Amino acid sequence: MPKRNTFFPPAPKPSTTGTLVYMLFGPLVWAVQFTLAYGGHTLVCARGGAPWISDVVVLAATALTAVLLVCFLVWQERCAGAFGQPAPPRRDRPTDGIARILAFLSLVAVFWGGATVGLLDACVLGR
Amino acid sequence: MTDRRPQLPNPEPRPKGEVDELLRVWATPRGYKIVTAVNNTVIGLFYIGAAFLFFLLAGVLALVMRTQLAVPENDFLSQGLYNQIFTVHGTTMMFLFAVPAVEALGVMLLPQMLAARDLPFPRLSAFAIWAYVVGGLVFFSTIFYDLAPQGGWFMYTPLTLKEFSPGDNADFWLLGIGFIEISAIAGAIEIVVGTLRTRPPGMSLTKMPIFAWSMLVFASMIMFAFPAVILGTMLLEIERSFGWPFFTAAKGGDPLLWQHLFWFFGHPEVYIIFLPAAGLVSMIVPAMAQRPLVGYRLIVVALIGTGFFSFGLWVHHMFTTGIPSLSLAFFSAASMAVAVPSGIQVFSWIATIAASRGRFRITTPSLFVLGFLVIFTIGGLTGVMVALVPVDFQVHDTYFVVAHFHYVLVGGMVFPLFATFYYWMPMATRRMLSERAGRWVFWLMFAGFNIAFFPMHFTGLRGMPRRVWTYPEGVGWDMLNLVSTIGAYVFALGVLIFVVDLVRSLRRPPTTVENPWKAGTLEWLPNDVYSTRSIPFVTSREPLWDRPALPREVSEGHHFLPNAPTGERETIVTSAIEARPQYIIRMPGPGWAHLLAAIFTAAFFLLLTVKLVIPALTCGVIAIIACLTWTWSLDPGPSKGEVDIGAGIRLPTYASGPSSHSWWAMIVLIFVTASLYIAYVFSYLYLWVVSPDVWAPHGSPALPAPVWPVGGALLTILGLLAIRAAGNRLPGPGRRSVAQPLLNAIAAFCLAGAVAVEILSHWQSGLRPTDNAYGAMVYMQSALNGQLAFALIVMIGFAIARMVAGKLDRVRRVSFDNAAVLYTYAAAQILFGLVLVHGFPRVAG
Ligand code: HEM
Ligand SMILES: [Cu+2]
Repeated sequence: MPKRNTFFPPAPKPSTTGTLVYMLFGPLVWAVQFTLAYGGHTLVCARGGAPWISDVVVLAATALTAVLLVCFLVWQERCAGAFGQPAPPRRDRPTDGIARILAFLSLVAVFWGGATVGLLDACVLGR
Repeated sequence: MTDRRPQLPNPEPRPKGEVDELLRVWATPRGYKIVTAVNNTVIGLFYIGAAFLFFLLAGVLALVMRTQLAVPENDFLSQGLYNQIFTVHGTTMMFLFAVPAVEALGVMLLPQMLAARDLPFPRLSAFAIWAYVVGGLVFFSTIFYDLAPQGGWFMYTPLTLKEFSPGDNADFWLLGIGFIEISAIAGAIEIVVGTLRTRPPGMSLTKMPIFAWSMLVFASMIMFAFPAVILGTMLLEIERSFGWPFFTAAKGGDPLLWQHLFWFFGHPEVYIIFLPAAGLVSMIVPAMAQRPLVGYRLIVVALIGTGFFSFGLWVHHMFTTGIPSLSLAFFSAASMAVAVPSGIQVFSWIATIAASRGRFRITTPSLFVLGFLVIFTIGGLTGVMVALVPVDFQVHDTYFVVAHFHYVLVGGMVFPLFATFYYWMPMATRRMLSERAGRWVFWLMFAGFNIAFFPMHFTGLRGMPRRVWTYPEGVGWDMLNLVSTIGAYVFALGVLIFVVDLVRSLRRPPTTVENPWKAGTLEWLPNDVYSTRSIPFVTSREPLWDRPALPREVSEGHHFLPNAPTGERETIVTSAIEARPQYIIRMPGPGWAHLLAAIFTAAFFLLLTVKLVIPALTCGVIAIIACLTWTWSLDPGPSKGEVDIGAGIRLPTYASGPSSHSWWAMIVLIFVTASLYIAYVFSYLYLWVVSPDVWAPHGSPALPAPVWPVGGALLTILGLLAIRAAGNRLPGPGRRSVAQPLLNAIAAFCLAGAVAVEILSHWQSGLRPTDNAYGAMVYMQSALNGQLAFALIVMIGFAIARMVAGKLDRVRRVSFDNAAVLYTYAAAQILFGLVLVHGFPRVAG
């Protein structure tokens, strides 16, 4: 009779929520930047604040989230552990890969969004 | 061969009669009773059939419009009818065809691809489908009675407010959308829990077929996008019926709020439609190229990336409405950036085709895939063009935009869908469509489409606005329009040949072609109504290629769960990340309750739309009773003990608590509710930004004294404590408790009390919802909380009844758990709401 262990060797199991957050770390951080930047600058403009405050809000949100993403990329091994991923031989490599590429893509998106600062006078009505 | 045997979960020959038992358990009801069927593979066919019917109907409307536009100053259609027709065409295509069609493919294909006997909530799917069929047909038929809406598929306010759109026409739009919202959310629950929990043992998340990934992303996007439009439609219907001025500028509302809510849904919507189609392409391309997809990880990244980034684009539909220029730049940049993930996918497909070194077979499905690549890429390019703000200023609301979005929608969704029909037809019906006719279908559709829509780019650049019923002669639009109309007919001819071929094929006797395309994924295992005979142990992404003996092993019952040990419908539930077997889920069979629930839900909304309140309420009550009857038979309890699925693995046949499928469904539902609420918070703050002058304490009566919100908060907390205590007092199996239902009842009363106190507090302060946008928003909060409270009171009443009937105890507790989880969320929402409504104006004022 075949044994359970031949199919499912006993091993530490990855955390469910942890794995999902780990994989989606990049886009989640991007979502934070998006909310802060868009919400922040619209609010400043709508309440008649100075345009440069708008720019500062966007820059701050961009800098903060970019730092987070860079840290994640540099210390990915440690982050993986923190998000409940089992240690290397039992680690799922594709998960790592997906998390890394997503974080990288999000970093690009964060810079791309942040780069719009200063192109135009922030609060002038576009039309 | 012999050395492989020990690796099989059930190596011994199986006893006779197991297949007969499976057939008996999973038998599809015959004759008229087929409507009671719940098996996703069976009703999935109804679902896709209905969606395709709507495609044909809306297509006929398109031909009617093109006929009208063929020559200048035509009077084939009146202006009013043309307005109705483009609204119904657009709405039907988007809501009744595109989203349901991909959802249908999801419920049809996923069980096969995941080798699950069924997805976890078959009756919920059936309910969603029937609600959609009834609601959709009623909505569509309004075009025959001059009752159809005229506001375009996005129904902008203020045009759609009562003053400017009197009559019930616009309400029918809101009604039709209501059904799609309900069924889309129900489908999303099914798909999220299905892809995460009913994968075959061993198929970890990163071995999942790309289509399953795309459906997971699709369903998650529905969870966050649809609530915005649900709130929007609620607000609009409330304003139309009761005059709460959310969108009326004179009273502090803002018509642009509708645009925000609509497009926060509407932009992700186009990706909701496109991503599953891309998932389908990612399945077809490797099969035709006979090699694994190049860049599996990259494609997963692209799907997830698009899923997220598409939520950051909605303002590009509002470039011309007057917003700060930083926003323009921001959303313009984001709109261009989102092309990157789509580009990644296109390159992966091309790389896969190239890497096959000429082995890529040109079949009808592959032709449609190639056609998709061409058309969708052109649509993507014009998309980047309109993402440039100055270009958008120029072409906004012209035929250029009509050309653009038909290129993305028809290219990105209709062509993959036809590829799907040709490709999966043998799996679903054991019949092939004609390859010879298929060539005709493809070339007519491909040529027809381009002849129809390519000239529209120029019609648009020459200034022809969209949504006009006719145009003057001699301004340079005549020839282009005539060509477009001819193209539309050519396209239609292609579709017609397809329909004829489809009918002919379905009338032929089935053949037994297994895996005609020699694909590598599980849906091509030998299957029947019960899916596969045994559920394979999966170790790679293309199990059929890596283990050629798999089909035989599976159909001889050597893999997991080769029988029906509980004598009922069941499948294996596995863990979300690694797919380790956890328990056996027992699933309901055919029944009438969900069907009645769907029909009477439809009737309730319909009658409400035509203001027949008493009959509507009657139907509503019947619908609720039907729902309760249906849920009463769920939560079967642990009566069947444990069963052996092979490899010495014994699984329980019952689960409750955080690892059970019903808990997961509840969490999904809570996410949906929370996004609805966040959309509300956004709307509240948005209107405050727009017109702070109507806010309390200056523009409206002063806020109620603090004892009111404090009282409400105390009631909520008391209720929370009561439901917690009730959880601890669940009696042991076979016993009953008096205190437990009592605590439940207290919790329900507290909740109702908290909502009532909140409403009263504002009422006594003199504020009325019709006064201004502030009043409307304040009462809307209670409307949302009240809905939640109503649902909870029903659920708690249900749990009390289960206790009285002896069907609720410490082990068999799902009906209570569901209520308790939702209660916890509701309490949090109410408390937050008190802070917002009573705190914010005090701080901001
Ligand atoms: C290939 C056959 C099709 C043809 C010939 C066609 C033709 C048309 C025409 C003539 C209009 C009205 C343009 C105007 O007056 O502004 C229109 C609008 C529209 N179509 Fe199509 N269409 C087709 C397929 C589709 C598909 C497959 C979808 C979606 C999946 C779709 C979605 C829409 C939408 C959303 C609108 C906008 C309606 C509005 O302005 O509110 N169409 N189409
Ligand atoms: Cu968009």
